[in-house]
Amino acid sequence: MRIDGKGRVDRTRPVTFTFDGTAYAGYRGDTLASALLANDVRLFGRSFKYHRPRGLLTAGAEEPNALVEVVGPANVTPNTRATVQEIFEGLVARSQNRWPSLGFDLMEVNDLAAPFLSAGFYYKTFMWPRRLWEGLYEPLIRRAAGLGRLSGRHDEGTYEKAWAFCDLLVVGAGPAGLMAALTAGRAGADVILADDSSEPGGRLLSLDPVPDWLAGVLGELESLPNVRIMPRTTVTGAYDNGTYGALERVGLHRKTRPALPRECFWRIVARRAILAAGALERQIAFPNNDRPGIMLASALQTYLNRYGVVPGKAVTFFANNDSARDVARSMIAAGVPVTAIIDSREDAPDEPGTIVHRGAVVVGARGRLGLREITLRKGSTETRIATDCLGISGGWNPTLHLTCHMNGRPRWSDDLAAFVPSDGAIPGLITAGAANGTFSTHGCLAAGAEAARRSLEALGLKAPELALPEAEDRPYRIAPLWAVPGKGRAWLDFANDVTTKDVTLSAQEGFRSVEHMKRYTTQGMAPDQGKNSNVAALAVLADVTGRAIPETGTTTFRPPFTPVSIAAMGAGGRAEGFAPQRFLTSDQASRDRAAPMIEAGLWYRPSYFPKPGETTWREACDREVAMVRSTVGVTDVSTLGKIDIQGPDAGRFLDFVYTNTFSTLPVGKVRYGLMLREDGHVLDDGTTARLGEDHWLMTTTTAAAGLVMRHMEFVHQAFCADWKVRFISVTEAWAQFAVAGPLARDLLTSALGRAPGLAFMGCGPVTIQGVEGRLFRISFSGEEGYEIAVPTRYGEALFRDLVARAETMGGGPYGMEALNVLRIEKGFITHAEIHGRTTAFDVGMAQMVSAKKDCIGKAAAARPGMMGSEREQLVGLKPLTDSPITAGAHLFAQGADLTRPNSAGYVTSVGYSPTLASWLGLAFLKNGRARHGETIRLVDRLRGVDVLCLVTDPVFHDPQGEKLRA
Amino acid sequence: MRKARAASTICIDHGPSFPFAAPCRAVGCLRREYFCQDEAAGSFILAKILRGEAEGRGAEPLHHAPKADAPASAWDDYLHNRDNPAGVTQDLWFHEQGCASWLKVTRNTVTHEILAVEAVAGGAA
Repeated sequence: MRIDGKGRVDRTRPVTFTFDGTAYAGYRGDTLASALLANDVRLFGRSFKYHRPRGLLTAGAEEPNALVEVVGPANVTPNTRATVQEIFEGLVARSQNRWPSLGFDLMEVNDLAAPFLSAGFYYKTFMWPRRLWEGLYEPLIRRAAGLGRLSGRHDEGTYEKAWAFCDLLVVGAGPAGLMAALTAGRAGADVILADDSSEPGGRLLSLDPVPDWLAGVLGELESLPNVRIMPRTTVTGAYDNGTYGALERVGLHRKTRPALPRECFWRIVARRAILAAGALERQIAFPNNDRPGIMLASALQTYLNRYGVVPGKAVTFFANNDSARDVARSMIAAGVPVTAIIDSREDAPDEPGTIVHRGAVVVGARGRLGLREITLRKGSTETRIATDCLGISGGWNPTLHLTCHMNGRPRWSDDLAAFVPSDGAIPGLITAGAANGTFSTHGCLAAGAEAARRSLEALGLKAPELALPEAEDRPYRIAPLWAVPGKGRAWLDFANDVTTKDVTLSAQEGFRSVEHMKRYTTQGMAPDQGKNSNVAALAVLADVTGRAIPETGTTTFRPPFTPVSIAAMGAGGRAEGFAPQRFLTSDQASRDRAAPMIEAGLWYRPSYFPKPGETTWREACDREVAMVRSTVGVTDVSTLGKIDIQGPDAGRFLDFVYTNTFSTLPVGKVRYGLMLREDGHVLDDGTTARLGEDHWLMTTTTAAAGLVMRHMEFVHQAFCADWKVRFISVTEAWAQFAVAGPLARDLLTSALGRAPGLAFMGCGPVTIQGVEGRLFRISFSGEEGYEIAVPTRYGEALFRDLVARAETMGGGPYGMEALNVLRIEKGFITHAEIHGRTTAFDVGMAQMVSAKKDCIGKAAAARPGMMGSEREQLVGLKPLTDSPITAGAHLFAQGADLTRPNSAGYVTSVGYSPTLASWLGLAFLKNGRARHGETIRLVDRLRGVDVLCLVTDPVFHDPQGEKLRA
Repeated sequence: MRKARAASTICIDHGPSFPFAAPCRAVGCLRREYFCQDEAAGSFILAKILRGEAEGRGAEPLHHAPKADAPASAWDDYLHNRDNPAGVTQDLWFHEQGCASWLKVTRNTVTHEILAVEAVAGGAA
């Protein structure tokens, strides 16, 4: 029911929306909760386990009951708190966890079965037979219990992430936060004031009247260029070094439109922080305390004063402290009858305009779909009172959650009957105001200003003198009351359906530690993460086990403070945003030829170049292999890492990082080198060219380009920082193309306008159509091969030119598939072979580890077990039949049982060789080099391959290298 | 750089599928190195845990491999055996997308405090 003249919603801006298919009207400024309450909707959801009808408990982010689905054009968001979701024109929301409807839910039968469904029920009941766990029990339980459901579709909404830096982060814009921000803002500090509501002010917005100084303070804060106010922003976590996570609801309160992010996940790095997040009111457990219409007194205050809504016609209160009195007065002033205040304290004061039942407690509530009546007990007398709305105040819990995020443990305050934050729990963060257990408005204002003064001092800034606005300064008086004993279930954790009986049962069954109790009962594990129940559950456990609360345990909270959507944290990371993409200069030219791309790290490389009539990749691959072997092929090899190395000690440095010697290499020559890790395993291989006396160019494999760079930096900085050598990656500066095949020399002669004139493993500068480039005579195919490099900007033009020339000679481009077959035919290794567990000995290159000098990995490679017949050694495999073989298959001696201990090795690379008209494989086989000529059984149980293979030398094609050197 | 720390750890060999805060545990992985990505700083950092040897190092070099002819056990200790203390430890960090410096970072694994940063190559970090 809306009260005329009350609230801050904009009555000139009506908004229509639907809930469970019914259209409702509200006003701009309403939350879904306040707008539905104004329409006299009392039922918001069904509980997790028992499907009990539930209404609102709170008016804030801690709401455990009113979790709804918000249906957008691109997504359905479950478990949205109706108390946080602002309404907008066309908002569509649905209740969840009910069937067929919210008012009539067949699963409510669970509530009748409640005597059997206490804590631990599932564990005790669904024990056997074991085979039914996954197939029957779990699906059944999951269908019956739960909250929102995922749509099962991708979330196509827009999300953002952002970073911010500031001197002072103030969390919460209530009285303490505002004073802190104002003090620091006036001092010139760079301030961020983050508040989770749509409007700054915190509890002040729920007062009647709202203090008139609030507008002035907000106006000044907005005018200060060094203060950033972030509304709708919940600080969700405190992390190391002053880093805070925060979730901003950017577009959730608006109609979806393109490019409007729904949420933004902020990482805020703050030199200092003030936590002024206020406090959360708590309820008192009594039988049937979850009836719709029973809510926190502070929530009633917010609905009345901020939204102009009263959720009942005859309001009662149940309290153990004074704070419900303000709410009662607001109600009476607004003309809403307050039937009674039930105050558990014997010495409770009177209240004009209503009846106070001192020393009384509420012991029951009736009204399944909406409260009708409560029962109060005073001494041994029980009285029934008709009421449709009960406001509860069981005291206040400081919102200290952030202070627990780095393992800080709060401490118990007997005076407040609440946990208060420990000092220094988060380095650089000060807690102020209600979050620190200071509950009067004046106390909060003063604490905020003082926290700012201390923070400014740490920042080296001087705090200005600030006159505090006038505000109430009443003491907080509370007589702890957690649960009212009585028949019937009394709820502690609404969201997970945990009652005081469950906690008692937990203690009886031996789960007396608070950590065990939580896990046994699931208390505190629902979407509200125990905000409404942790302290009360601890108190009940303490009572049952006959211990004091501090003795029983403490409550702790982990990030995030409120749920953060994965979509916001991973904003920008969907689909192609997941990783950067690196494209070759020839990328478009390859795509023009319909080449499918294959990912190689972040690179996209052409897989093969299909010709008309070719229906499978194998046809294209076979053709490309044959083409390179018979005419000429062109392929882009720019993805290989290129490191430019210069300095008088460069040769000496290369001798140290490579196993073989480079310092003796003449200028104009290229040498193949092998690089080891410090632990003696092969790190990488590649060629290094000596371009000048003190100038070298190293190439690495595509996969290990970054790794080799890091490794070289480490070797240089850790072992020989005084050597005169410098190096830098030039991978992206050069486009490089391999030209390979018997006609490679002819192609280059035509492109260069002269014969290349390089012997095998020669290199030199070259001018191609006026562009300065480099030419290397190296081969990864086994044919006469060249690699020509030009500055990147000429790459595409050169590629197109080389391919066009090749095509006039019966050649053309070739892709990764053919490149792989060509190198397997030659027994050349890649990271499929040097995968981190193989040594130079294993790959048959032990002779490349120079005996004349030291190098990285040499000593470690000589440790026991690093070489010898027990090692798996690189061999070639050729199936005896023409059946395909697979990489990843294991090798077994003929007749051996196919068990793991009998595995004699494994296959690393396979391909079909059109040259040899056979499948070929490279493999590591125990003592393999001594076993050439043996027949071995290749088994791949995953893909059903079982083939006998001949063990051979890994070099299948042109073993003498005559073509290479031609 | 002084503020950087491991936000998540990823094995060099096995990539983001193995985001362990300890050496990679992928089957067969011998790496005792891992990546750390500090997104806020926008830089990739490689960390390699040094053997715990925080006390009384005096003027010793920052990083010292065993002699080539040292016993295998000395190499095993140097390459593979690491303490994992709750408290002060030392790591090597690589400022990959920055200055390419390798740094020896002394930090507290409990509080995440960075206590000292020295350049492996000598001089101020």
